[in-house]
Amino acid sequence: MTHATEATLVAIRDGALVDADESIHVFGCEVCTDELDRVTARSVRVGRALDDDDISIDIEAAKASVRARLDRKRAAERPRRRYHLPLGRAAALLLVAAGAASALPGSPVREWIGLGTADGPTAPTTATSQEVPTPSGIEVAVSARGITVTLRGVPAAEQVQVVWLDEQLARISAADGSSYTFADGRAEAVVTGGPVSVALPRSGPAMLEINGTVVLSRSGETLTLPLGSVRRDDDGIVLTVPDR
Amino acid sequence: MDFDTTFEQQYPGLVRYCHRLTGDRDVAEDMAQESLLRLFDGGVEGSEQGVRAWLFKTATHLVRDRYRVTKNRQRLLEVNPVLPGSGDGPERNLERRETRARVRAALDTLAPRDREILLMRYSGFSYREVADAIGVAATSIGTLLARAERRFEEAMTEAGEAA
Repeated sequence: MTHATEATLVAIRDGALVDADESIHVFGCEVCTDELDRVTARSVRVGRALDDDDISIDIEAAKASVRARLDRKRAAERPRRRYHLPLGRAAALLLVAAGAASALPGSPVREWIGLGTADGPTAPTTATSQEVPTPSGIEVAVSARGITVTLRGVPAAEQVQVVWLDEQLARISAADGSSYTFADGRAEAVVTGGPVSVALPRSGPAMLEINGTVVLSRSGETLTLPLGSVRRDDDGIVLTVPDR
Repeated sequence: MDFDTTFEQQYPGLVRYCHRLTGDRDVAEDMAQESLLRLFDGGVEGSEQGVRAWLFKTATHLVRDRYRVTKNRQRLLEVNPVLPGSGDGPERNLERRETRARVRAALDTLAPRDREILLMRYSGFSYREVADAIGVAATSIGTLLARAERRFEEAMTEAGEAA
């Protein structure tokens, strides 16, 4: 057997997983154990060199700076609250409009929910939908493996509402004419315009990608919003669409 | 997540990492603070180690976005920081400054990705965490790290001989 490579020895040194046969060889081979000692000694020297960087750090000044920036950011967003419905209520109106439409006899809304692919037809208008755009959308069941929602064609700077559901369902709602597809664990929409809302289960793996950028990901209990959020509460989140 | 506790746990290590990455103390503080701002604004939550990995990954990407190696290489080589005295004598301070300058110059000879891998690994992150932050397969970290360590030591040796 040939001797272990330097990369393998470094991985063994660092406790990373390596092939069991290689590991057995290393510890039974004088040449390899000498090399392992060499890379271990190198690690000590490198670590010592990198540790010698005692720049002084003013934590309190840094905290004050970040806190001030956060406060300014939130203050700049606050006036918009006056002109928008609370998050949960606006999303509920969109979904109720779709729900109300689906209850009408012969409603095309009932037909397109749950299809493998669908071009969203215009749902019948109702009295309440005169105040909100005519919705089209898709609803899919979400398994324990989670859900990835992909939106394309969303105008830059548009705000997308993400609503948390207590059920294992995912929904996409967008403007009339948008098209939808879904497969196990995925739901996709090419939207013709806003407003756009997405509903996701409150727990479980989830990812939301808009125009090729991941804007929300949840793994375990860790929720990540790489581009931040406009608003956030227990009902959901409002995100701003990045430039393409 | 408590702002003060998180800040005190994470900020010093993050600044030191960014300082090693950029060679510029002001930029290092800026990058570290921007990373923490995004953490709190984005409502990221998780274990202390999970948050630490997220912050280092974010800082790595912020530095990449802000700096291009060709524009920064000369700047890094020209930086000659005046470090506060540690209470040692002037000769000892000079020796330490020279050592730090050699380290910075050695880091600058590395390709950006090699520099990131080396600094993240020596900040205590696992192979998987380094791979996730840098955007490579975890199985390739051994190879990349071995190369980075080798090149770093060679550069330190050359700088020491030239001095």
